[in-house]
Amino acid sequence: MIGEKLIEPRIQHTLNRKVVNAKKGLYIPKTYQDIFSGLEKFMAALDYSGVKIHNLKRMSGGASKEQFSFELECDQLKKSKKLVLRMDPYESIVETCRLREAQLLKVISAVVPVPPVFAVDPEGDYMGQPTLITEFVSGVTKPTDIDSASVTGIGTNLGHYAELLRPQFIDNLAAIHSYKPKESDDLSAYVRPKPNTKEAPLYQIGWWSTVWELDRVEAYPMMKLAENWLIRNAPVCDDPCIIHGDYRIGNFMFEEPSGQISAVLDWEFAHFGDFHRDISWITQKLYGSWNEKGQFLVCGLLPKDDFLRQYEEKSGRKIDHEKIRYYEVMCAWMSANMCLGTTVKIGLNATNHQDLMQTWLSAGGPLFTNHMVDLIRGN
Amino acid sequence: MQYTIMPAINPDDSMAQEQAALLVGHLKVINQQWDKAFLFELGTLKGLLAATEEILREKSSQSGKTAKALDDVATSLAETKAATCKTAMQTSDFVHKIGLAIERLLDASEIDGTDAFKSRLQNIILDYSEKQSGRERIWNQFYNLDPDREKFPTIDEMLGLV
Repeated sequence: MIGEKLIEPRIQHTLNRKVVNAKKGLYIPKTYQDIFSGLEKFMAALDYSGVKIHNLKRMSGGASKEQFSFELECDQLKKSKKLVLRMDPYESIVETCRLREAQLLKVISAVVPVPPVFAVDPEGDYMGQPTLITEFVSGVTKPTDIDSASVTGIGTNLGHYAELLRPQFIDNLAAIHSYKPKESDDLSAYVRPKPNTKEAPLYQIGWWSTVWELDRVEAYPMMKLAENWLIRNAPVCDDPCIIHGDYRIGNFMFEEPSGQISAVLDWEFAHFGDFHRDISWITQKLYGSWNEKGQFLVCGLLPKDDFLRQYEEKSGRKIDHEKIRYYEVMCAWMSANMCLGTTVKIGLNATNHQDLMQTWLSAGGPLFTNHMVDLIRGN
Repeated sequence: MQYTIMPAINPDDSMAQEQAALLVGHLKVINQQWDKAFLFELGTLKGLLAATEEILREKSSQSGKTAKALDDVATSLAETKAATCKTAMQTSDFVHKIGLAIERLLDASEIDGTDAFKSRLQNIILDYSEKQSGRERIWNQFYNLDPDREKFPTIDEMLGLV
């Protein structure tokens, strides 16, 4: 990377760990016995007594983590609790920090529905791999009555639920961006970029250029061109706020038949930055779909112009279209990074139990490089 | 997979079912691609060689780190042209080698490349990347991720086989 690299210490720590883990080779998924043993140690460390684990079951979904549901019974709980355990394999499509995720979930629950945090094992001291345990939230990520062969939300047809989900989708996004952390909020794993500087985008470039250096399997001059373009054109961020980072279809749950959003999921990309970053992520082509009139719908919900207008109305923020373009380049670059680099490397190294899913997603890479060309040209 | 193994998977094991379905999907894509992979990679290399030759036309106008990086690009190009590529992997290796040299050139030009050179270099790479990403999108259409896939030509049409 040209110029001085900015990278959050906790992100650097996570990427350093990735380098070590990548050398471990084949990742064998955890057995139920592994999970039982880990949970016994973990719960004991948290001073829970009389622990009984029931109905342990592996869950599908999620692009690269191991996920299990189980019920916990112990002396300290009046009744058993249904929980979800998410655990990192050796490498994931994106290397992120369970401690950061836990901290943010606890804080942001004040304004949007999220899975409540139960416990976190950030370094895998008890579970073997970094682990986050949250309470189980009911709901679905796609309608059960519509046949939709989607993968991690991509290509999901929401049907009649689109109308119910649309306003909530925008309301929740506005609420996330509006949240001002209190003194008592523990967000110690995060760096907050200084306002009225270029630190917000530069921290993201530092993160993702490091990932590309680590994971690149084949050279793509377009990736380097985009990286340098992003550095040269980095805009000032007046007021860094909480950014979800992966806010899109597939990353929220809703109840059927009410269509009420029950939880916003997957906060692992979260950081402090420019709200335009979330807007630009949401409007990516990969997460949208075409309706019968030939209109492109952002996340299968509404046309882009309507989405931008309604976000402005709900949030009170004014969208800067040049910043949208900038962050669209950044989002395409990050997505290309994952698809062209990380997923392919995982496939080669077999360091993830979902290597078939990872390599499937690698096929999305050219969509993002194509998009970067258009954006940088100003099309 | 489809008729023997998948029906035998416990219906409660959704992860195993999902992975099995992905494996079948991968095999179907490989079925479409495998005997055209060399031709596809050769097209990639030809496009990159053409772009590289265009970049090198500006060689004499640069100095310092940019000039040195241009020399490295020229060396990579010469080595590739002298080589014989007989397989998809061999071809891909040369794409990687030249690509790395161009990446180093991009960084060098940020330090001491002239504005005119940087602009020309950017345009050449954008042109190449537009064509190449278009080829890759057509190549990957059977993964069903691309929302525009219904509009694409076939792989055979792209490779000039029909």
